[in-house]
Amino acid sequence: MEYVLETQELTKIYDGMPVVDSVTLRIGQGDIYGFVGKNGAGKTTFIRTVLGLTKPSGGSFSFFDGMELQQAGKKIGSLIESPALYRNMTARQNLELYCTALGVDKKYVDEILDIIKLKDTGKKKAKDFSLGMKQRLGIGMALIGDPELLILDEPINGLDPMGIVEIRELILEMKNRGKTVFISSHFLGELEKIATRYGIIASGRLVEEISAGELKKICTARTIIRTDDPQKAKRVIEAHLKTDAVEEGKDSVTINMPLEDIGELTNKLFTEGITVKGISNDDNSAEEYFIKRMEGK
Amino acid sequence: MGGLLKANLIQMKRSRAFIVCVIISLCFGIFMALLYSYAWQNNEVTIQTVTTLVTQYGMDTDIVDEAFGMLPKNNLWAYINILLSDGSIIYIAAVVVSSLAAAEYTSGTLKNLIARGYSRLGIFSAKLISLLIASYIIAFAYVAGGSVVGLILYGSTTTIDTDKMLTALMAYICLFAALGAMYFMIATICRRSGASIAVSIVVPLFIASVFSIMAMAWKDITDISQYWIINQIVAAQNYVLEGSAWIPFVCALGYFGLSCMVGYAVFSRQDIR
Repeated sequence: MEYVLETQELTKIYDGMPVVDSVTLRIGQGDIYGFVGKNGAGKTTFIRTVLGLTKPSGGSFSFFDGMELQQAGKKIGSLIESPALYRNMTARQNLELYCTALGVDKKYVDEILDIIKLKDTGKKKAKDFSLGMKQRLGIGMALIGDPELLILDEPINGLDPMGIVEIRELILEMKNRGKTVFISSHFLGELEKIATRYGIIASGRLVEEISAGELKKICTARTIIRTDDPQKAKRVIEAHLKTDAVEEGKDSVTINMPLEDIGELTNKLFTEGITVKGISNDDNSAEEYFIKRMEGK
Repeated sequence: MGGLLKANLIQMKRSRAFIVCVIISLCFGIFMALLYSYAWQNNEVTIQTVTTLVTQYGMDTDIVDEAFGMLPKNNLWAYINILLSDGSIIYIAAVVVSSLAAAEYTSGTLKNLIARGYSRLGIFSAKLISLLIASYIIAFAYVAGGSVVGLILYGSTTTIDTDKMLTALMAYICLFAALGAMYFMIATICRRSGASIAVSIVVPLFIASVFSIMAMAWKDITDISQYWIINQIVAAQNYVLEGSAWIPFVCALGYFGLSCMVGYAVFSRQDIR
């Protein structure tokens, strides 16, 4: 299979405003695709459009090498915004009812309860669940029918750190089982831990698609040099490297160069009489990169 | 669609609102039977009071004979007819259909089905069938409760022929299907349980009242107002007895078709949240 989801110029317009604007993307099998964007960037609308909850204003989309949603739907599990549950039913009853609706064998309910760690909730109704439990049950509903593609919209919203770890492990478990996961979130740090590919959306437009490998390359290529005289250091480095892409901080300069290639440069700084207090990787650079791209920079 | 229908029925069975409404219908049927019995015992006073009221509103006093004429016959069929046509059940059916239909919107579970590739037509049809079953269960509980007590109080003799009895019952079944479809259409438009219940109860009865008042003002309106679904339910047995059984059937078909078309047209274009 070449791809599990493909959109061509997908557009959704509300009141004359494009909320999703000509988005063209492809998600390959086995990817954990992180869909990144600020609140209101169009992430949820994009997901709602490809899942048939709202009609597109333009463009097209298909699943699994050309299948329409009606054919492919059984192979897609989703959690969109808040989990949709029958509040007056237990976790098991919710899953069983959904199995009945989808015509899926109920024998997998125990396995799913096990995966989402809700096996011991007994007769407790969904309305009495914590937010994390509801979120896990929502993911459990998405897992019914053993779907090949999981579409999760902000699955860690409102979760405590423990809940976030559990959801992350669950997603990685799905990847290990060969599933493709499309996950939208604005928790960039969390996405970085699991995503294999990213799509960055800003004001409805897909501004960039980048693989985790490419992102890592960009991020690890940034080095911070702490010094007494960042102004002089900037001048020396720019002259030495013949570039003007050196960022000057209060007591440091940041350059687009990997840490391992920095040796010759530090020698140059020493010879110019600049004291180097420390050298490190720019740990926040991935987040900064996303933020800049989301702001259209 | 089989799976969807089955899931809807399970959901209905587990709905507290539905169970409560079935119990209320049963009790209400029994209560009405006792009330009618008491009315019969005080027949003369009641008829006199109603005749006065009817005269005050400028209506034909034949209506009093039609309504109370059945009670003295002391038969079960007449009693079932009165229960079905008195309009009380309409309120309960409105609550049940509206709350069950709107529950999918408020819980958000509808999006789970659409996102799995189910056609909106399939989802709409399965929901409609389950809601019709729900409204029939409510009507049955009401009639069953009242009939058992009515049977004890009035006996089981019947004064009209079996064919007419069955035709009238069929007419009621069709009219209830049309009413259920109309409530479903309202719930599809409103999307919220509270709003759906309120609109389902108020609007049809409001229209019936407006028609009644207009009929008093302009005699020509009487011809139109009799085709309003609420008025059809009240008068269905009369059409059958008078040999115009096709009227309630055609009306039921019209309302059912129109409600389904409008309901589906709205549902198929809705953004589901």
